[in-house]
Amino acid sequence: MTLSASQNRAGLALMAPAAMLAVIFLLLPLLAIFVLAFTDYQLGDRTLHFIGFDNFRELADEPIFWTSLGNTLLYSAVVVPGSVTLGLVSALLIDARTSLRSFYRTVFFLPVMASLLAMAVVWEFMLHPSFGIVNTALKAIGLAPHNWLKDGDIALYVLAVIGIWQSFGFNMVLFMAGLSAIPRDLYDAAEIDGAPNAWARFSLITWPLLAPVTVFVSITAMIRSFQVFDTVHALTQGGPSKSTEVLLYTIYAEGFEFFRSGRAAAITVVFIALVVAVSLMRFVSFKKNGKPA
Amino acid sequence: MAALNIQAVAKRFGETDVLKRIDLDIRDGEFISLVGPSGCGKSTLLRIVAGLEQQTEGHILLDGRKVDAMRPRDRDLAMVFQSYALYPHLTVAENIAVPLTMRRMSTLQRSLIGKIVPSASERRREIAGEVAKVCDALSINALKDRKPAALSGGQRQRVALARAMVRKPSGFLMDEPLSNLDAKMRVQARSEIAALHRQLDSTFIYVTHDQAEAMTMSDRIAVMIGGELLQVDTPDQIYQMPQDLRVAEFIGSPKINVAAVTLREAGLLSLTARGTTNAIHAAFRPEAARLTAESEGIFCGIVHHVENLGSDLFVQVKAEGIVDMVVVRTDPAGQRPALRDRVGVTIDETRLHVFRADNRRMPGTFRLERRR
Repeated sequence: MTLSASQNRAGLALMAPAAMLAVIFLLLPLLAIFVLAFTDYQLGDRTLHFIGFDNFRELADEPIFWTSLGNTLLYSAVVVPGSVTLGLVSALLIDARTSLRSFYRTVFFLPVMASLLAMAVVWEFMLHPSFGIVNTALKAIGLAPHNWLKDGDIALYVLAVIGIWQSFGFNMVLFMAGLSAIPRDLYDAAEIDGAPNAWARFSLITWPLLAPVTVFVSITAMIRSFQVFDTVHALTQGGPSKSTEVLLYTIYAEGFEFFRSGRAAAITVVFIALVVAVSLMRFVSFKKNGKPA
Repeated sequence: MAALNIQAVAKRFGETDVLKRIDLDIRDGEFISLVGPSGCGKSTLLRIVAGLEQQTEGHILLDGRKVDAMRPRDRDLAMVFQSYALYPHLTVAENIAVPLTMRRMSTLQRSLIGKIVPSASERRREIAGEVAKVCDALSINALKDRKPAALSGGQRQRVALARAMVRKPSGFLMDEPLSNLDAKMRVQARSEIAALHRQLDSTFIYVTHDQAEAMTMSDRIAVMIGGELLQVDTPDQIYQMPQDLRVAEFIGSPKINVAAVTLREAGLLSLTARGTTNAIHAAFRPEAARLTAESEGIFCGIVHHVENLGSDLFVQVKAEGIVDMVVVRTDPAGQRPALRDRVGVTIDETRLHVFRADNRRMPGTFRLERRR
């Protein structure tokens, strides 16, 4: 179809507001980050001084950056499988029962809706070394108590458990939507065809038909796990001795505590590259499946 | 091969009686159709026979054994679903193989590890051979590697049949397998399924709301309406000797003509307006009536519409004093009445059915009083 000049003008005029908003609020800030990453700008400076790749070179030599990147990936490696598996299992369990379905769905979804910062306070109480409920319970069954958030060997895993608790409800809701799209007839057919047990039904029908949802959920969970910040900020501030330092917290510290905006921007560029790489995985998997999840 | 007995099977969902004590004996190798309007409980009955649903009361017997507590996989019945229920992520060959892999291979052999276990690969070869045989029989060999999404409705229906046939079950349950096909494919598939039944010599239970499918394929037809089994008989008997007014009305196209009558004296009926409560009804098929000159008919009326099907001509006559339109079949080669002609209608009284107020057939011979 070809459009007349006036139709073209009308079309451009109609999309102009959205395009302008996108440029002002998305593209310009992103561009500013990329520009800042190549300067030694500090908050309050009146001029920009370009230093090429120096920020990145310094980052490469900085152990804290690598610790931070490593911690982020480790956190992600625990939270993604944990929250995806838990989300799938809870979705299957809720789906198998007809009564109380919406009750369980709401309860499991609550942590997703609640402010994580507020919830972190509750977790801090629960994990308190002397009067927290976790240590009290451990003592009651005769196990050794831990100083959960002050022990560098386990603090990151404790945060990961909180991360799983917080995010699995979101995955569960996505899996439930995926489950409801599977025709009931297929399970009847599997029953007639002689599927001997629940595992056979799951591996014959549920798992393969949920595959696109699983890919989508995993990638979303991965991106969300890279963005962990609230719990770190509220509970550990990256400590003890940088054992819970994650990328977003490093960016925050560089930018708003040390005011080294150039450095913060450089880490942000690395972070963006990571997120873009994961998003590309999703794109590739869509292409392979021939249709989006 | 299986004989099947349905004994006093009832099904209630809460307060609603979906099935009211159904008794039905199906012989080994028989093709029986469960036919009725939608919502009459025929699909529920089929699912109870399959074991997909549990009856509230009564028993299902397969070859004399009670199978009420038996799971579907142990009943040795195959089912073809209205939606075909093909596994969308598996190829045609894999779909057809599922009933065999599920029964002959262990969980380990079916898993990824099973791909390298030698005993599993031997099984797989054996299963592939049987799948190939069934594909040959239904001439779907060329489709083996396609996914269901790439098949037409007719092809999907064949694949669903193949999946049911592959493990040589003792009986086939079919839940409206043709209703997703277009009219032309349906007529073709009808004769194919009938041929398949003759060739397999196995018991078929076929659920449909289409009385033409039931009439053309079945050894016997079971007519269900409102959760009740009204009549079980051969297609000829169902058509010519309906035992219930609702059966008479459901079977046959165009629909049987029904008129309210009053019984005057021994066997003499006079037509009255329909709608009186506790009325006796007389019914006659379009081919049991004949158009005559106005003076010779049992009653007369005005030609309202003429439907020409090529082989038959159906004349709708609006008869005064009888609320319903009366349809009369005539030969298109003969004289054709014109619209708004006044015509008389006579009825072959040997083919007149009379039903009591409770819809059951009234035995005896009847004559119709001529209406002035």
